[in-house]
Amino acid sequence: MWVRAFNSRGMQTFQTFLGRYQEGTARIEEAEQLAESTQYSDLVEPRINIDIPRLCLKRELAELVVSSFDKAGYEELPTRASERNRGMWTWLAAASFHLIRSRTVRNGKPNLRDYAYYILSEDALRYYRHRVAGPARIHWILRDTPQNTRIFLNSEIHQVSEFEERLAVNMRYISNPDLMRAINTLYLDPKTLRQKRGCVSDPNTRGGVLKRFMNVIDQLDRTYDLHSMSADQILDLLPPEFDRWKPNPVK
Amino acid sequence: MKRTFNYTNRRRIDRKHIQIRLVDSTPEGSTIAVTAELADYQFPITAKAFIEARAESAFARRELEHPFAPFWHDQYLIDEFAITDATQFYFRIVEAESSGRLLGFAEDIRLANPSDLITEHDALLPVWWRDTGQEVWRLEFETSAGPTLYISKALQANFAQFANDPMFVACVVPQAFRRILFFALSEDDAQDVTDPESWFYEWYRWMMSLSELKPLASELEDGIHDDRKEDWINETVYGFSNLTSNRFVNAVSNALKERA
Repeated sequence: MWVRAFNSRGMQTFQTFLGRYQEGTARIEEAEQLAESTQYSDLVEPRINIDIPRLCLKRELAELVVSSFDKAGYEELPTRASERNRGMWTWLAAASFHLIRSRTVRNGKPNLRDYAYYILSEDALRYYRHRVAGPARIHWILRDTPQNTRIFLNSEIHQVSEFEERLAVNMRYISNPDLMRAINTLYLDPKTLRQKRGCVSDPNTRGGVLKRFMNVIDQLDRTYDLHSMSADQILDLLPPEFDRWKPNPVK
Repeated sequence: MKRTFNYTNRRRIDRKHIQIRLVDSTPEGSTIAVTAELADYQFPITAKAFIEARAESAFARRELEHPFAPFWHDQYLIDEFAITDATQFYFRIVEAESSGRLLGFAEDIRLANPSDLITEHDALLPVWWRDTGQEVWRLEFETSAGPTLYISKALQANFAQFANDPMFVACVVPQAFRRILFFALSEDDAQDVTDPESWFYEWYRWMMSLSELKPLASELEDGIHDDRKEDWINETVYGFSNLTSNRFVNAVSNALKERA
């Protein structure tokens, strides 16, 4: 299907749909029908072809979106929250609603948590929450080192992981491939290729967890230029509390 | 009392030694002009320097080439996000070896108000590198933009070294200054010192901020050749060379003694 952008009527209708869905009075398929209807949206130029699958992982959806933009000749992912881009990403959320909808339930009704997961926020600080644009942006930024996306994208497609929440939001961190490699080295389980258990725990209960990492990195940033360092150099600077998360040295 | 430790001996760069101006803003990005006066910090010439632009979650970073030279300036296109008054800039000087150790830094620099630049001599004379054959330096003029000092591209890597050399400064700067004044008052391109659009306006404002220099008599501004004009230029260059911070002859004499 050709990617489209919701017009103002489409944006409003989709928002109404989300409200009805939370009330339990709308079906999942209605989002797709809304995306298919030409009266609520316009074709995006240059044209982008995308076939959204019935089932896929967060990482696979991000790869699919990025490769679709790539094939269409886009040199950059249109991430600025302009009216046009908001319409497009929100349309993509509607077209893939069956994949990205929240699975949580409150009082027996679907709980969508935050509309910014589906309607691209105008606030750049909430951009990462969008369940199509956020992961796609991570994949786009890290496309030269795709192995570094694992810690972000090997998680539930409909959830914003702690790593997305804390790291992906800030270009200062995510644009540093060696810092991303260091994070994957520490917190990615090499067997499951998902985050290690307990690595996003409260720092008061466990040492060297993600929140502590962020604090320590911000301190080190005042003394070192982390963009000039390799992942191993960054790991070597970390205090002993992080040793438990480092891979066992080869004996 | 708050105590801080600086185990790595990194140096804080005074914000007044770095100026960043927004030159242009288009849908393709924002062009910023960066001016730095880092020669006195004596960072190793091999050190790397970076400028970072940060705004909430947005981030852009550019490596600077040879920013330790006096009067250094350059322009950069930031196309990651729109530069605004809220953008914070960070300057980072990093050890050349890949240790990543910071040697110097400046934080939270904001875009300069264009009027802040009026008294800054380093913003007045752009320095660029180009192939000038065996000429070490060359001064060129554009009627609207004013003078530009070109230095031989072959000397770019050593520029900080010789540009700090009092012999070089003493021989080049007064002569360059004299030529600039002649050009500003030439018959063809005479500049109006009261016209803010004129490239010479800021130059003149800077000169008049130096109490040792005399103002230009209004009847000499018309571009017509006049001996008094030449006298004024000679007096001005004389006064400039005699400034406490310059004293070029003394500087050369001292340098020669040291080398002997």
